Amino acid sequence: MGSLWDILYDLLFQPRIAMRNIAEQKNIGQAAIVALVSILMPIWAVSFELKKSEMTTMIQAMIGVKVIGSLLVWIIGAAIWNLIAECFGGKGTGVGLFSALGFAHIPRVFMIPLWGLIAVMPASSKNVLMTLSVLIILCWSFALDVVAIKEVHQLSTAKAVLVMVTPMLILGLLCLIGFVYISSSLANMNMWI
Amino acid sequence: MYKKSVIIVISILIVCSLIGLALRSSGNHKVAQTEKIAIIYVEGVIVGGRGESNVFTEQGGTDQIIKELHEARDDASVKAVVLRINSPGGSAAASQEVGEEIKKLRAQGKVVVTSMGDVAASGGYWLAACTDKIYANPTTMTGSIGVYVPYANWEELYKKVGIYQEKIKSGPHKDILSPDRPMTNEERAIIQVMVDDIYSQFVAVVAEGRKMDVEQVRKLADGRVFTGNQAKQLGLVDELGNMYDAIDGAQSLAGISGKPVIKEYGKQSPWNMIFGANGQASSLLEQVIVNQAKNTLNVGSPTELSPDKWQVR
Repeated sequence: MGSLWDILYDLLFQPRIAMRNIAEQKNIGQAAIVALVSILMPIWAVSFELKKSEMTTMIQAMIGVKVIGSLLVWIIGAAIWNLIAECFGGKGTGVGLFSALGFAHIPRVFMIPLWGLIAVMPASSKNVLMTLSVLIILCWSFALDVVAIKEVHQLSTAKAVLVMVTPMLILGLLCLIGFVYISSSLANMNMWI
Repeated sequence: MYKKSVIIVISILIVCSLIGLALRSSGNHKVAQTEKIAIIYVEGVIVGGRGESNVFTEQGGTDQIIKELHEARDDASVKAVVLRINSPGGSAAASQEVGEEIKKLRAQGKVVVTSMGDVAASGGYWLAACTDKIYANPTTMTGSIGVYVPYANWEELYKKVGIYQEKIKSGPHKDILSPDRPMTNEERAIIQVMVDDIYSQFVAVVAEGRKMDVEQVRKLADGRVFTGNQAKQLGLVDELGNMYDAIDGAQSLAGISGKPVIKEYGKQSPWNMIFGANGQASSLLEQVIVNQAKNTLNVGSPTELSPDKWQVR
C-alpha cells in the first residue's frame, strides 16, 4: 500500500497505476485533501490578481461559486459517471471512482507555477499564454478523469471517454429539445401588436 | 524516497510561485493606493433620475453620474477628476444637481477638469462651468448658454384626425403648454418668467465658474453655439486639447508627480455591452427628437398631468 507521496508521484508520471491503486485503496480522506488543495490554491492565486479590480463583493461571490461548484461537480459527477460506467459494463465501485476523481483534481495546482511564469512574460503575450495554460490544464484534467473511469471500472479508453462525455451529450440534447420546443411554441403564438 | 523528493521539490515550486504571485500583487496594490485621476463620463442628453436600467445595468440619468461623483469624493486616493462631457444638454434641474455635486467635490479639495468631446453645449456647458479648468477640441460644439421651453400646437392636426381632449382643471393654468390649444398671452408671460429665472441662474453659474462679469456672460449667452476655438477666445474654455491633455492638466493642478493611475467610472461592463442601451450617437439624437416630439419641458419645471383620456370622434 503506497503512501500519499507515492500516489501523487504516480499520478504525475504513471497515472494508470496510480488510479488503479486509488481504486483499490478507496482512501476518501486523502482524495478530499488533494481535491480541496487543488481547488483552493489556484483560487487563492487568482484572488491576488482580482483584488486589484476593486470588486470585492463580486470576487467573494465568484470564489464561493467556484469552490461550491467544483465540489458539487466532484460529488454529483462521481455518482453520475459511476452510474453511466455501470451501464457500459463497468466493474468498479462508486467510492473508488469518487476517490480517483478527487485525486484527478491535481493538475489544477500546476496552474500556479504556470501563472507565475506568465506574470513575468511580456504583456502582449499574456492573454494567449493564459488561455493556453488553462487549455493545457483542462486537457490534462480531462485525461486524468478518463484514466480514473477506465482504471476504476476496467473499461476500454473509448468507453471511458464515452462515459465521460455522455452527461454533456445528454445536457446538449436536452437544450436542443428545449430550444426546438420554445421556438415552435413561439412560432405558433398569435402576435398582437 | 525518490518519489517523495520529487513531490517535495514540486510542492516547493508551487508554494514559491504562490508567494511570488502574492508579492507581485501586493506590489501592484501599493501602486493602486497611490494618487489617482478619476474619469467620469457625461454622455447623451442630461436627464434626471436613473436613466435606462434593467436587471444587470443602469446607465444614463444624473443619479448614476452623482453616484460616481460621490464614489470619487469618498475615495481618498482620487486626487483629481476629469469630467468627459459629450452632451448636447438636457434638463436644467438635472444639470443643476450635477453641477452642485461638482462644486461639493471641489470643496472637498479635489480638482475637477472638463474634457469636452464632440459637443458640450447648454446643460453640458453648465457642468463644465462648475469645474476648475475646461479643455475642448478646436472643433468641439459648445456654448448654447440659454434656456428654452419647447411648445407645439397640434390643435389643427387633432381636429383633422378627430381627437378631442377633454380636461377638468383645478385652475386655469393647470394645462399650460397643452398641445391641443393655443397658448394664451398670460401663459406665455408665465413661461417667459420661468425661462428668464432659469436663464439668470445659468448665467450666474457661468459667471461664477468662469470668473466673468454677469453682463459679459449675458452678451455671449444668447443661445448661440461656439466652436472650441471660438470659445477659447471668448474665455468660455481654458485650453484646447483632447482628454489626455485634460488628464495632464488635472495631474498638474492636483500636483500628482509621476505617471498618474487612471480610474475610469461607468466603464462598460460585459453585462452592459450585452444588455445595455444602444450606441451613444444614435441614442443622443433619438433622445432629443423624442423629447421634442413629446413636447416635454427641457427646463425641468413640473409638467402637467399626462392626459390619458382621449376622445376620438
